[in-house]
Amino acid sequence: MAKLNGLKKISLNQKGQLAIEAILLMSVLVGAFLLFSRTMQQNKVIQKLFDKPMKSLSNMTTYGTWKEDCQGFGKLKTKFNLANCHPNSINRGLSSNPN
Amino acid sequence: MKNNSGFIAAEFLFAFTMIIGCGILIFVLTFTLTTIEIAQYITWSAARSYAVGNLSEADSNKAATTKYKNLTGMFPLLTGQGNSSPWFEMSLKPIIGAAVEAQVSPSSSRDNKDSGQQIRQSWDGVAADIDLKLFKGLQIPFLGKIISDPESLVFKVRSHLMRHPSEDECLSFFKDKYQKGILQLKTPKDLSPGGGQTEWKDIPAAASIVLIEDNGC
Repeated sequence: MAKLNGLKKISLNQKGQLAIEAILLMSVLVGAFLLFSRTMQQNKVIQKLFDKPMKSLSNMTTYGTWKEDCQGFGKLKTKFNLANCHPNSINRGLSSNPN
Repeated sequence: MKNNSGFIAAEFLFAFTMIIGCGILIFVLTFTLTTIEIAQYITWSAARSYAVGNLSEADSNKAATTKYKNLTGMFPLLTGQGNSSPWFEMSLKPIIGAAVEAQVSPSSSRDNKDSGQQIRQSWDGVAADIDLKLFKGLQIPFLGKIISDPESLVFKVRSHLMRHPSEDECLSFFKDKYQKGILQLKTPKDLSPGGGQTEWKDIPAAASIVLIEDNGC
């Protein structure tokens, strides 16, 4: 009987439950965060966010164009050097070489 | 269970870290963009010094170099004033003139020459490199580096403002025309049918003439 009373006492004691739940919850959250972090790193999400705009900016300071590729018009859409898209490449109808 | 003390401290720390992190990111981005603008202004201003007429091409080159050095010296973060700057690094010496042309001009411009083999569409100007070290070194915790190829953050900044002919070139142009045009004139007698092909002996040599140009050189 005394033994039974002891068990009853133990089962009624809820001390520690919060700690266990907190650890479980923390494990799930940390796991989710690590998964999120790894996915972001593997898919290079942050790099993709900054790579393209910085490339466009670099093309503007270097070649004076926001374009990534310089393509010709017409069916062929021939690829040119980026400098061909620089405003300085525009034909200026020079009097020494009229077109 | 009912004691909530400490929650606000934890939340404050979390929010504070997030805000400081976002603040650093925005600061680096805006500061980098502003610095690129300054770098562009410096090369443009040096190109402007190179563009205006001077005594000779060498003098234009010297004027552009002086302007570039003076302006970069005004922004120690750009050059580190001789030491290595931790945030940005701009070339100490710019690339000027024909070297810029060789670096950038497309073949369509290089091949477009007149009968005197002079390029019609010039790409003269000033160019410099700027290394965006601050942006390059940025890393977001748990999310990795901010840029995949750090070398792509060494920007080439170029300004093409061409160059007006120098006084030397202007004078030599007139002397050349004198040599090839006026000195080749024939005497009226020789121009008559059956005349010879001798030069007009009374015309002085190119070295002894005084040029009077309409707009000066």
